[in-house]
Amino acid sequence: MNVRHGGSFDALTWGQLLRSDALRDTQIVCDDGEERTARSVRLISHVDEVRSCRPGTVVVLQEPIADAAWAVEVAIRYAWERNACCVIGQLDPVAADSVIRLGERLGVPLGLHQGDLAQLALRLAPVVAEPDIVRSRLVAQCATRLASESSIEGGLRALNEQLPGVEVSLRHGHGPQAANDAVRHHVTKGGPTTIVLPLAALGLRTMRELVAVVEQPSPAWLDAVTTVLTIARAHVIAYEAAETLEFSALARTEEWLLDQLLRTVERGAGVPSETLARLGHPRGSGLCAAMLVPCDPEERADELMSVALRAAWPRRGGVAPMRYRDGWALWFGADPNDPDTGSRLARELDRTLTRLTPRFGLCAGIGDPVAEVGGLPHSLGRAHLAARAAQAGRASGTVVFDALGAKGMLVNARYVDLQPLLDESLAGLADAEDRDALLETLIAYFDCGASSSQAAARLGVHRNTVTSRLDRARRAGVPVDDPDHRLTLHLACYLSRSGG
Amino acid sequence: MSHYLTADDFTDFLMGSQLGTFSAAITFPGAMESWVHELLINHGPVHIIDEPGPELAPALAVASCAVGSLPALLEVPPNGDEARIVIEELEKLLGDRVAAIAPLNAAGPNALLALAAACQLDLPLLNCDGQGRIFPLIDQTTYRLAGISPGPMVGVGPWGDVVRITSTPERYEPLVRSALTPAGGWLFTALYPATVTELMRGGIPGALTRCLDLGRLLRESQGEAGEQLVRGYGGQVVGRGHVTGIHQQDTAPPSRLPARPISILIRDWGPAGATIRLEVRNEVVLATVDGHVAGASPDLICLIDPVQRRALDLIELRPGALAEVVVLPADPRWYTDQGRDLVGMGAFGLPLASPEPRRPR
Repeated sequence: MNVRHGGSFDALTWGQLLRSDALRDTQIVCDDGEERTARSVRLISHVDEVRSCRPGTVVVLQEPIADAAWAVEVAIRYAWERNACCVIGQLDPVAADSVIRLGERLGVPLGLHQGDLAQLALRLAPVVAEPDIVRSRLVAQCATRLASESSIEGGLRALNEQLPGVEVSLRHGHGPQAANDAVRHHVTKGGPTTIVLPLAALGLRTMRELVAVVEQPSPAWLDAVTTVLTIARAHVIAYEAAETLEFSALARTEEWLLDQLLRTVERGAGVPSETLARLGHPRGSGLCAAMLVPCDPEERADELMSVALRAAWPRRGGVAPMRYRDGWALWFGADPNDPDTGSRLARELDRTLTRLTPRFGLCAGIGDPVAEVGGLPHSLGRAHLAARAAQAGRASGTVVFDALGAKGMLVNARYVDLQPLLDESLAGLADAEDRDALLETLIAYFDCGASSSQAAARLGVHRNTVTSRLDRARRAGVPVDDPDHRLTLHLACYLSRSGG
Repeated sequence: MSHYLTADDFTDFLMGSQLGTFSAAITFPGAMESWVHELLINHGPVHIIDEPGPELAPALAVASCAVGSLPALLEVPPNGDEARIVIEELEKLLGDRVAAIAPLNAAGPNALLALAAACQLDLPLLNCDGQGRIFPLIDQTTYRLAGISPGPMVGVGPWGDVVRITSTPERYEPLVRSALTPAGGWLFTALYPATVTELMRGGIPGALTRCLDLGRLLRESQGEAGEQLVRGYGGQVVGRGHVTGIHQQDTAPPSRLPARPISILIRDWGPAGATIRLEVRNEVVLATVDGHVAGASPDLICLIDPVQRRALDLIELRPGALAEVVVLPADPRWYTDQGRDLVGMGAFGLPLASPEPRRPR
């Protein structure tokens, strides 16, 4: 029974016919024009008969013209003029170069069948007459392929191979998962139709959608593609779950290996090369560590995030982030004598973090380059301090410890008992309306060696403004001019500005 | 009405006659070119009959041609007395004197051999031929369309064997074909005996002067030989480019045709870079451009060397050669149903409709 929508015959396309079993033993040497429709089949022995074919005819040539290159070329030409679906002949593929080129030039699909051409025509006729059978078969083939795949990439590849004229992809969004998981169709007049199927949330994976762009959106074909996507939805979630498990195990293993590595280094023992290799340790002796921490200090670097980060990290070799302290550690091969190592790695890490999907909201720090793996704890420690500085908002992007100077110590100082003492030094400014401006002025004043004119230039204000603000601070009880308190005040201003 | 073909006309005649054949345009006639030219100088000019007078009209005329293998004709060239032998033998057979000769086809070697025969026997040449080009079989003629029988016919081979055939019209071709190998590869024949009037009515008029005219057009063309021919005779220039492939089919369906099918591919220089395909069944019978039928028998499909402004032939053609493909209209009788049956695409084993008549200029 023909599939009818709105009373019209919803014909197969050449692409759909290609994937049907009917052409299993036909060599397709020119598969252009997947969108061409297949409406009927005609067995032809006189090449002029092609001129009377109706649009959408599957032209099967037979003796004495099927194996004559000139006749197949003329048939291709007539098929192009008549908008036929395709031409099937019986040429030797080696001798068919010019014929294949002509098919490609005119965009007429061409098949070479070395068996009985009349039998082929008989086999094709019911398939073309009952396109729903082919579409159902395609759905079944997709289901089978999806079941045999084990990864998202494999599943998407299978769908794109099986569904002619359809481009299937997995789109990642951001934010909370939408409650409505209904299928949506976006129709472009005279163009492709986009089918969107939301996927259920899985851990940190939210707002994912299976998207299919259908070039030839006939109603029956849209039905078939929607059915395939619905089947694919469960498979994709299963692939994701399997991937999560896999990366969870991997992340755990790597964490354990890192722990073993650091313990071994602390003992001063040699690190087994196998451990380094499993972690993706770069070749060569020099390295430079990096730390990633959540930009939001309230956010925890938990296992869920570790797995998601490990899954999203680019698979191009090298050390991937491993959970360490309150963030994730990794390191790169680096020349300890190269003064540009830190900035180069910072740019590289910035690029990687920008491209991560989903976006994790991570700050990064780069430690000092060291000559051998024994220096890893040192480099990691510095990277951690730099990451903390980045977290505190002292600098944008990835922060290099070496460029941080004393600020590295200051940023991390709020975690020691020094903090209350420093806070008391600025107690007088607690209620001041222009507290922030006074703090910035004090920092600039102290940074510039107590020069009010240099501080004014740095702040971009008039010198009198600086003098006036310093006077207000003095009136509030801040000992600006007392040499014994100057260092304390300097530190306190930095910490107060960071919100510590 | 009549005129004379002199030695001064020879070059134009030769070049024009070469356009009517692809299998033997240059290579083989080249071997006999100087012989025929010398005959024309010594025994010419040749009397060309356009309109026979009352005395000549009822007299006996015959067509002449060489049948068989052209390589064999090159290896063992004619002795020079073949025309005399076949004419005398036919006169004995018919009991009448031959008063005029017509070429079976005014193309390639047969045009030259008819000219040589006229010189040697001091007979006039009728300004007509039976094919307007070379078709491979002796019964593919307008003489046959007009109801003239190919026989009785007489042939003589390279070793002096004389073959006389008297049969029904349709059996002459297979009978003479079967005699070729034992005779030495070729036979010079006198055939289609008829009155001068009958032969001229059955033949394609002006065949000899057309050779002269085509030769003149080629000689005078300035790097546009194809366009010049089309301006003079109608038809079309199919394209121009380099030969990219010459393929002979190892296996071919059973056919009356002596030679195996050959396909020639030419990459057109046009902006589309189209592929011109020529199908050769002894002669070129089909020209397509990217699958579009540009010319099909009975159209005359010529290959021209645009640089040397002369016809190309199959033997000299090599991949990389520069060639121009031109389609010229055939005689209107070839486009009738009977004509198509005899020399249309079906006659060459190609199941394709023959084209509509082209309008000659």
